[in-house]
Amino acid sequence: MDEQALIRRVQDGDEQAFAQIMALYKDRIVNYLYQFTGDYQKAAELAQETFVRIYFKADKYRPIAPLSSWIYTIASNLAKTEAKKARRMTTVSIEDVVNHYSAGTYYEDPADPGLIRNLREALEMLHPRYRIPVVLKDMEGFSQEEIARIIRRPVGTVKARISRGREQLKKQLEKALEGKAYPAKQEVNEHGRA
Amino acid sequence: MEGHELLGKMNRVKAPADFDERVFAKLGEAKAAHARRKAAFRYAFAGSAAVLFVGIVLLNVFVLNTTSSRTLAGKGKSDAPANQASFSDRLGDGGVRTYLPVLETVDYSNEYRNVSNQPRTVYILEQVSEVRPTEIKY
Repeated sequence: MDEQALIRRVQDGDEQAFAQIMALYKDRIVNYLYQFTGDYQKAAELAQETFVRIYFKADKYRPIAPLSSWIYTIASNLAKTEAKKARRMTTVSIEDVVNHYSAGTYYEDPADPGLIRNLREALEMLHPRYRIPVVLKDMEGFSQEEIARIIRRPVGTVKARISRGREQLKKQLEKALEGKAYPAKQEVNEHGRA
Repeated sequence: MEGHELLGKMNRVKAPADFDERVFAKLGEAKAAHARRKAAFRYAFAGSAAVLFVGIVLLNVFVLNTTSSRTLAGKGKSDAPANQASFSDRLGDGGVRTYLPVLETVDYSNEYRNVSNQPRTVYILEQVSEVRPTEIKY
């Protein structure tokens, strides 16, 4: 059954259709949110919240855009809200820090664990404004038009954000390769300045 | 290789095994909360409507009726005692001024002229001046 038919059934309150949509998208959404947050537990929680919203807001979906765009829009909005909350938090308990690492935040690539780790740290330092389009483009494989639909911005803006995001990512990686220490949890702001 | 090219090669993670169960558990809680909110909204709406209705009734009984009595100064004698009840005005500074309306009833029966062939006609005679005009003699 195609996605449009499934979402129409969800609009009528069909939980089986909802379970099918969840089966189709849960791994992609958890992965997307993991790449965005860098925290697997948080990503799983946000993904669960995403699907709860999908169920309750199903009647708001209009078939003018693919279902995937709509689902990623909900996930992106939740991720952005979470990022704002995280920025407002000034203190972190030591238990959370331990959990952060023990939850497998950094998946090490046997080939080059250092590079992957550097890449993830560089990604986490990107402002969400750039991180979302970069992750959607380079990790989830969406086109610029689809990303524009997901983040509700013009295609030109998306292009610029992807370009700037990649540029910042490259600079951070170069710094890391030169052996420069990262500033502790310093995030590159929306204007591209640390 | 550029950084963004490496992004595509990064490890992908999957949803935890109990993901579906957790979502459905959350869904059940959210549905219950939604039903509670709906019921609370219904009661709140009914309560607000009841309060509004009572408010309108009280306004009608205590304010609008009292206000209309101020305009009854010219009514007949039979109405006068009923209209003698005190009423109050809200002042600009938030205070309340209470006063008694003084109603003067006027008996116009003496003003009917016998010569008039119009029984219901009332002539209100107003004295303009007590000085009688005198002729001027040259």
